[in-house]
Amino acid sequence: MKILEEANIQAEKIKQEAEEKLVEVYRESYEEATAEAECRSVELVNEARGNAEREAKNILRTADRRIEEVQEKARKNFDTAVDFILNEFTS
Amino acid sequence: MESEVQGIIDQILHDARENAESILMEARKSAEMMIEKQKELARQKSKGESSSILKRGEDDAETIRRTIITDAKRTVSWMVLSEKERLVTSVLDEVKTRLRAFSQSENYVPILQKLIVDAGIVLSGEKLEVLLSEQDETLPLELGILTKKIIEKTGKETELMISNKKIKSLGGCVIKTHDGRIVIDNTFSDILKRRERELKFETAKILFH
Repeated sequence: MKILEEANIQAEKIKQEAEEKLVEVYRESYEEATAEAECRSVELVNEARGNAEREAKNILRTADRRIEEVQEKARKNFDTAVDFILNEFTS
Repeated sequence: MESEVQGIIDQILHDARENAESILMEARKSAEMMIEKQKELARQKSKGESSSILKRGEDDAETIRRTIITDAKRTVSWMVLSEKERLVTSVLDEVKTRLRAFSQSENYVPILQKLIVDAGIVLSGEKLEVLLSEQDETLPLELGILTKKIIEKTGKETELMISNKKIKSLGGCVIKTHDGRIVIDNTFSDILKRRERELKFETAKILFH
């Protein structure tokens, strides 16, 4: 019957078109998956950088405190240090 | 009779169209499944590469983190070290100032005499030229006594002569052999320079104790 014949021809065409797309579908899906991984990889790097920069700022803040400590010690011991060296010459 | 036949024909056509629709639906379903299967295959195959990409990302992230933190710590250490260096240098600058003042005090002469004798002994006596600053030339150095001390230590006939050449110094002297081939610089500034490393080390130990 013509109706059935045409339906079968159409069905065959549908399957054939699908088969022709398979290579492209594979490629696109593969690229999509790896692109997601790339995206996530970039996110990881950016997150790490952001966190590290915050931590680095905290570390840098400690510099002032440490310098003050060193200056305080030096103030207390300045004359002792000067006298020590002078003794090397004058004794 | 005619209507019965038409009815049968209509039924056959209706069935045929339904079958046709069914065939097409089956074909579309089959096509969709084929494509979905292919997508899934691609996803499975890509897992290895995706893992590598993520692992690389994690490694890069860790490297960046470590670099930034290390740089920050290094910067802080450098800042503290620079300040310590500055403070140690300020001690040595103060020492130079006090030595300049000391060289004008009465306690300076015995020290200058000792520096002359020490250098004379190192040069093993004989004819020696003593270079002093303009200010020190006028001091009562008692070269005769100093010469005797050098002779006692070296066993050699010794003569000390004050040179016409002057030196600029915080204090101390320069002693040369007569032929000028060997020179000992016993000025305060040269002693400070020679012993700089050791003195800075000792100064730092005291300052930052």
